[in-house]
Amino acid sequence: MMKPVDYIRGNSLKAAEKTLVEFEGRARPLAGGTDLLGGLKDAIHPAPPEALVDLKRIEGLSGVEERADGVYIGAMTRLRDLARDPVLKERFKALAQAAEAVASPQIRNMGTLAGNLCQEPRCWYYRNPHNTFHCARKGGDRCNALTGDNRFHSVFGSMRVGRTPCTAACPVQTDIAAYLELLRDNRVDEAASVILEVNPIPAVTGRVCPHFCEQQCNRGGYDEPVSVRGIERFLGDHILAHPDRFLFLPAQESGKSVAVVGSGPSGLAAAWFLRRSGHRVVVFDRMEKAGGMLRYAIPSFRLPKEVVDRVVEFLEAVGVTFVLGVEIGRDAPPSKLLEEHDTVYTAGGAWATPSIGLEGEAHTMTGLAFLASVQKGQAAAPGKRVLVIGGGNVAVDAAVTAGRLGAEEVVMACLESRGEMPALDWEVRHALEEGIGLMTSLGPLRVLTSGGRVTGVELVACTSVFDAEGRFAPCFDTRRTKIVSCDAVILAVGQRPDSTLNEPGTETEGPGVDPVTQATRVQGIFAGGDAVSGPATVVEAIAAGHRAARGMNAFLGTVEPEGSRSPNLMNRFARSALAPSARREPEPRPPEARTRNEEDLKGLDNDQVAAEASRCFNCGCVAVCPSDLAPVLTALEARIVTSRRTLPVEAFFAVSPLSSTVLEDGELVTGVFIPVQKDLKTSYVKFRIRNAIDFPIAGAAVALQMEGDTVRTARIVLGAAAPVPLRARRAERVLEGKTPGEAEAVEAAEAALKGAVPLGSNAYKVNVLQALVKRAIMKALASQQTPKKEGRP
Amino acid sequence: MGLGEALTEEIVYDPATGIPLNFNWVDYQIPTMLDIPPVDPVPMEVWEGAGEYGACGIGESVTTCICRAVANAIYNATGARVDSTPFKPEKVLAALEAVKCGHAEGEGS
Repeated sequence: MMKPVDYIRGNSLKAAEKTLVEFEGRARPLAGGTDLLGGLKDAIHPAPPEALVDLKRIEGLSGVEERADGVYIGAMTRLRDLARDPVLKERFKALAQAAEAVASPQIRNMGTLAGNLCQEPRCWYYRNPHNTFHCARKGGDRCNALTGDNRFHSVFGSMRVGRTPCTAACPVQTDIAAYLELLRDNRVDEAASVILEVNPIPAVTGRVCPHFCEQQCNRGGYDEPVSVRGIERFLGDHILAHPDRFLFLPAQESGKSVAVVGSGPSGLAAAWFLRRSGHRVVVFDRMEKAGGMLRYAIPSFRLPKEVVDRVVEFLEAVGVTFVLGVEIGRDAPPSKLLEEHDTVYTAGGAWATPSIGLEGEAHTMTGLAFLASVQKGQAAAPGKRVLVIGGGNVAVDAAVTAGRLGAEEVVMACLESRGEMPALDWEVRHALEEGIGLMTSLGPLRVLTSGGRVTGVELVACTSVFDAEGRFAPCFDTRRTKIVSCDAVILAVGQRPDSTLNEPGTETEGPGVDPVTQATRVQGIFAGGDAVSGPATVVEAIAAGHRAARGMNAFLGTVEPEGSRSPNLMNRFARSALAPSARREPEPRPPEARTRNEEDLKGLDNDQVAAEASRCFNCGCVAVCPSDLAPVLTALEARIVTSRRTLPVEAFFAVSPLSSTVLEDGELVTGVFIPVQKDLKTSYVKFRIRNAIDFPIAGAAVALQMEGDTVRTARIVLGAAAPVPLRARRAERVLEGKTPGEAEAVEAAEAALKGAVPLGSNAYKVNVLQALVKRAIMKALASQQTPKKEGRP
Repeated sequence: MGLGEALTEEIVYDPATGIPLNFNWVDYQIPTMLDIPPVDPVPMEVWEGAGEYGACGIGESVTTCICRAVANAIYNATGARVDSTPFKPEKVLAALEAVKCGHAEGEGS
């Protein structure tokens, strides 16, 4: 049953546009109606339109009109009339041929020029009834056709519909698919530069980021996610191995000075982006060496400290100054910095571990303090039998470190069940492999001591950790307790920002900090990182640093340097990506060979990186533009006239959710203008299975501007070959300046299909298109030239 | 009917989910008036049908031979055997490739 839909008659273009705008995307224009109604009956859309605005009664929208400089065709001109129009048949044969090739005679009696151009994709996944496949083109995440039945789909790659799921999941929005494509072309430096646009420390994140991107990777629902982690580390190390290739000097010094407090990931990121904008940047840190949590909390076996050293050197090389051993807040309040600097970013981290009110807590040490003291040189285990309380990454790191320092027995106890633990799953697995004990769903009740020494901990059963709203609210069953004997207790719970460093107005918790600019309520002071968010990931800290840099640039009135990278029109992928393959992961050392200082995981080698890069789907839409008229109008260099603007046809087609054009909400096509060109020979040929109703499996439009027998300029456009009509520029160049015959037509056809990337089941389309291009060229050459004189007698 | 079976009609399923993809008259392709080649009708009187008054069906029985005729026509024209219906371009192309590479099964093998 079709959902009821309002019918609104548009009495004028303005009124129709107004109605469409008022419905805010919930109404659709109705031209011929031959296509839209079928879609409505099948309920193919995620949300069916509430109203149809009929354009048929609007006057002045149909007809072919000859003008001095070309031909203007009204948007509502019916396809039948285009096919029969004497002006078109004489001047632009290809257009009449294409109109004649659309669908069936009955549909041509109703279907319109603009309707044909604006039709939605014909992809059978898109069109499946009841929105069965909520695909990327309809606002979903994946393209089902890419690995499904794609016999009619694109042979030139996909086109992006918004952001890929990996990029959308990444806190810094890394364009992962773009750098993987560059890697496949062996353009390693450019690939690394893509990451540097949003993340100055990929060598770090490639090692410690939880990679939210991988969790969203569409490959995950197919076989296994692409190992973004391994590739990111490879590129990060590549940057640090060849820093000279990535160092830059800001185009212009701004003359402004910026202070950054805290040299953890957030401070480092802010420093990089601020320096890139031309500011003098000074980073302060209370510790002896820069890096913050990267240096003092994350163990060396996860993140070697040489990597941190080199990251800091990299930043120093672009001109960031580090002032270490100075504790802002204790030695001087952040606002004092404003006397010397134009603006300040504070990112002090979440180092405080406030008391949790545990009996005997004084006999414990915190996970962070333990890890930091190991980084500063502590080489002895904290005890023989160590109990670590906590289920997060710090707890796991503390437990593994204690074990590797020689503790005889290390046990972790956490409130959560195994599946709820916030630590990364593979980190927990590695810990268990090394013999670390794990007791889940237990909370500490008190620390047992005897003569001032720890003898054990009494634990109580935890029945649930989170309340119905998902907030942390543990419940305990006090009847069920358990005593674990141990001689050292490490508490790795409840990290907080160190609020003693704050001054009024820069409180970092709560609504004090603007989530977009990271501005505090004190003018000129910005804050971010764990200090604001509470304990979070490195990549989230980088994101905050980048937001702050943008906010500070806005505050200083500095215009950020623009990226020079322009996105590809078509996204290519390796054909091997379309078949199942195994993921290559950074390989861990065997448990018995793991040490305190050597990195646990081995990076991917060149071959593994290449193989993983080839697994990326380069997610986009592979539905083709099914219009017969679109390639012809592209070949004729037509201009689309809308109710708001006039634009070249090549800029008109686009891939976006529920749309095949760049039309804005309410914007309507009013007509098409085809400029007159002297001595033009045109043709359109179409391949389909049957002679009526079918959409093109492939089409080719050719427009040759002749000078005698010589082709002066050629326009060759492939239809149904890609998500938009695709110009075959290489083929055009083959013909230009020549007097082509069959041999040149064959050569041009081959050139047109160079670089095709067929999918799993549409390789035949490459042959078909090649044959069509040749035929279309021959057909155009054989056709009669348009009259030499301008205008008609 | 015979031509549809031979050349166009096929239900396509999504390989991952088994959901049919062409449950409509646009994507499930039945030949139309425009696809019917010139027909040359020749009445043949053979035997009396088994039905009342000697009636017999003349429609469906004809369809069974169309597929073979088309398959043989493809073979006759190209030397390639396509062994599953419908004989769509991609299958014919694959069969042609096989002939080129010498993997095709010869007549009678």
